[in-house]
Amino acid sequence: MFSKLKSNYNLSNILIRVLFVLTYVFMRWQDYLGSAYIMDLSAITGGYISGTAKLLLALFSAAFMGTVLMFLLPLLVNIILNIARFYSIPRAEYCLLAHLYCTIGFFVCGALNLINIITPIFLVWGSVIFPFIVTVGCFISFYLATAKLYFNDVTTVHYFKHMMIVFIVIVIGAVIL
Amino acid sequence: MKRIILIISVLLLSALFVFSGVCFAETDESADTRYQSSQAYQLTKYICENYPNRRAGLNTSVPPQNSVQEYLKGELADFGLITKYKGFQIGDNTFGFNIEARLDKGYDKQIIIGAHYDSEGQGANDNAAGVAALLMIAQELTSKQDKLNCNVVFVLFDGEELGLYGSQNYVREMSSEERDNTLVMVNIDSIANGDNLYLWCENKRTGLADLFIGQSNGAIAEKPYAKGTFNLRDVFGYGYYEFAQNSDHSSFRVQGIPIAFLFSGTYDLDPWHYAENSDVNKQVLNSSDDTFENLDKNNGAKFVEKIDAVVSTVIGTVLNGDFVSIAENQRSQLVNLNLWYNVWWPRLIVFVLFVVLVILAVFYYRKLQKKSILGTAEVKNNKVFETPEAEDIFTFK
Repeated sequence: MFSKLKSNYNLSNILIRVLFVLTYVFMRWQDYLGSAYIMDLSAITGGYISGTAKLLLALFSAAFMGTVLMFLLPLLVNIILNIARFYSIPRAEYCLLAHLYCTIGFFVCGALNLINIITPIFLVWGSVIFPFIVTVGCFISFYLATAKLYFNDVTTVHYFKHMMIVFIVIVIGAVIL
Repeated sequence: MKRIILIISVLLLSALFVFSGVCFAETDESADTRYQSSQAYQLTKYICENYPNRRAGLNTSVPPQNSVQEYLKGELADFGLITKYKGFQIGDNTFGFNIEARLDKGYDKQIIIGAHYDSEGQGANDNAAGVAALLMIAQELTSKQDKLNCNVVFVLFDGEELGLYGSQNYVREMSSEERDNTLVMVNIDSIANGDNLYLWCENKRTGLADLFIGQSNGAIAEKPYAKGTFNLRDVFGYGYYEFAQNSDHSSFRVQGIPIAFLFSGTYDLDPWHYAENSDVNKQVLNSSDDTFENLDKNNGAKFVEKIDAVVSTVIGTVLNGDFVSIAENQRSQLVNLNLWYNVWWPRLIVFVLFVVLVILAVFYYRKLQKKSILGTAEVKNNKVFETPEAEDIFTFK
């Protein structure tokens, strides 16, 4: 199976992109469901509590954002690689790997978010701690995989430094704040 | 003679048959409308029809006259309770009036039983039904006051619909000693129109919730934990937003006073949400359709059953011999609502972990630097994806 995927870039690319969107929905559906409900409650009906399920709206919104993110990710990766002056990396393959590790991260985070069903306390603590754990795990594994593939002993230092800067920006911006 | 006995027997049987038919017909008819003579029905109807506009701030006279406030205070006073208005300011020229009635038995500890009487429109479900329940509880507990193990304070709140003004003001005026001595605040709001009756004490299992549920004989269920809860910080100080917080008990809970909130609705429609009723046509909360006519038409005897269930549950719980000890223990079982705990602690922990990781990364970076001096600078051409053979590309298989 994997050998087939390795020999078929287009198939792998499409498959991972679809999984990227699906796992993003899996990770964020609770947030979108809450937003859809509260928007409906306050803005549209003026305090009238509707019983209409907003699950479809939430899933579509999450899928839309996931798709936007799917197209944005290669752009961001290319910008970062250009700033860091890494020109010898196979960009398409590198972006696909970035998609793959994000997909794995989204899936793990989504699975952890299911704990929110038990109590709202996890909703508060989990919303900060789960993304951090997943971000750290994905960054380390992505770094190790790509460093081994594309960088030698000399360039790895440079690569690690830039990966750390990206990691710090993501953790402070997206997780802590 | 035999003929006469036969005729009399036939006549008697006929009369019995006709009479029994009339009786059964009357019984069937009365079964349909019997609930309408109940106290819960009559009280709810009276409040809705005589005081259809109970929006906070409408009565500008101090104390309020010829108003719902006067009626409710009078009812509570008639039970023998010590009553008073507790006025508060809502806007520049707008005033609200909480109505307090005390059943003082000389104990240190007290419980507060509350319901808001203000409404948007006629407010049959929200909250004339709750007020009716409170009046019935007050009447019953007053008549059974010798069995009480704590003082009882009944409070009818104003300004709930405008943003919990009445309850917030009431808690603010309580002394710290009074807050410490309050075992639990029982809030009754919108109990008549939903599919199910729910109790919400805390987002975890507690002894107090078990006691309430046990006393309800299956009429009331505990609110499913985490359902109707969203990851959104709210104005009450909770780290999350929950569709069980938007009533007067929140003002007490954020001050550390245990609460028991009785309400109706459903959490069964979709995986995460609360709705007033599973039937969209019966969802009338906070709208002009929340009338007594609709409440009666949509629910019939069921809304009276719900009010009666709430009344009997609250009375059964308060008069239970274990109530005081269980309620005292409830305070130690409360979830920490501190903003630090809810919002900043997890972020602080993540930040500390993050700093540790950055320090470790610096050490790793120095190790890489050393390795790079002695390491090779060979060009790496590794790829995940195999380059297809020219034969594979140009040969159609």
